[in-house]
Amino acid sequence: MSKIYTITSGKGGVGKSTTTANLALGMAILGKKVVAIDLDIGLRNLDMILGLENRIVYNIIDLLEGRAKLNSALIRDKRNDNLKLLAASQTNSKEDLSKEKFLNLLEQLKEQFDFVFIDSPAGIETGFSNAFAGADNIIIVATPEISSIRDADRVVGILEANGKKNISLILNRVQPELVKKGEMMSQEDILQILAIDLLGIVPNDPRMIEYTNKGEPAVLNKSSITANAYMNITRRLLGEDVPQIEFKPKGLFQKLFGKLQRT
Amino acid sequence: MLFDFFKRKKKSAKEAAERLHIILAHERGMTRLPFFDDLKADLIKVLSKYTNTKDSLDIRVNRQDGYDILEINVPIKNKAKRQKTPA
Ligand SMILES: Nc1ncnc2c1ncn2[C@@H]1O[C@H](COP(=O)(O)OP(=O)(O)OP(=O)(O)O)[C@@H](O)[C@H]1O
Ligand SMILES: [Mg+2]
Repeated sequence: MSKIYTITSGKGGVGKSTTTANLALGMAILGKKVVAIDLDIGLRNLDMILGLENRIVYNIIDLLEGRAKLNSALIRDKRNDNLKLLAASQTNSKEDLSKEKFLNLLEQLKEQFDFVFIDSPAGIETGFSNAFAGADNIIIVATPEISSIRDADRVVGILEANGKKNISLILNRVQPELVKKGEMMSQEDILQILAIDLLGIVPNDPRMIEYTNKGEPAVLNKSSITANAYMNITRRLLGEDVPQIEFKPKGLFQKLFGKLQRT
Repeated sequence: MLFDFFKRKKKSAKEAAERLHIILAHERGMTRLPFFDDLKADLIKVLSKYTNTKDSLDIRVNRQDGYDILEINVPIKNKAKRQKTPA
């Protein structure tokens, strides 16, 4: 029984690839067999976030067009045997991927792996619809900004129109200090707007650039503030009941008139 | 002024959430309902038999518990048209 998750967002640059890398590696760390698929054809990225760029010989288009066998296209992670990467092609365009062949591939992968994570390209065009077509679960990544939430809402609409039922949200790059000051939308604000389930909250991590520079995702750094968040999400995907951390804004009245109210 | 101080203190996050609520309620009709344009045209046709409100017809889609809820607000500006002018 394997599970196919597509990580998508609508808006670009909100953290889809970073999330995919960390959930895939996190799941592998927990002992599950995982394949991460970079479906951002033409803008390959997941390989570098995972630090596997030098190992790629064949990509997903090579595989789907019969130029490579499955075993040679699946790149083995150097740190964890449970994780394989299927890289995007750099030279093709999104339209070069045959949806039918891709769906057949997913059927095959389902038999070999416990989890399949698909990193979707930004936008709501062909690449996006290929990415969610075969998934039974959708993870929407959004940041607490109006443009990201607006796009996420649009994506939810499209997914629901396509019959997708298991849609959940990862709220990324949350800055608790700003939420407390009332200068960043809280998870409650956002969940009320999007009306989907919350899968997890990932704080903004100034060290993220360091992890990407080295090709070592956050989950490998025990001291990282995001590692814990990603591992919690991974456990939730396995059905564990891991409580969410809450960042609530302080009520202005509570702060200013707390004393008066008591009288 | 003290009043200004409180006004400026209106939190930008609340403002963002309010703006999103409003824009999305209006956009969702177009983006989620394939029959939106036809519905709007039909509503205008029916309503204009009785009122002069066609330009201010306000159609929203709000989300609650994973469902889309269609809300139609018809502001009645003028008194209803007389019955003697049939369509
Ligand atoms: N929690 C976080 N804290 C700090 N930086 C983050 C966080 N998540 C992502 N980033 C940074 O945001 C940038 C964009 O991330 P990423 O490439 O994962 O986004 P994406 O959604 O895949 O982008 P694209 O739409 O281009 O594919 C990167 O520089 C990444 O390091
Ligand atoms: Mg990406």
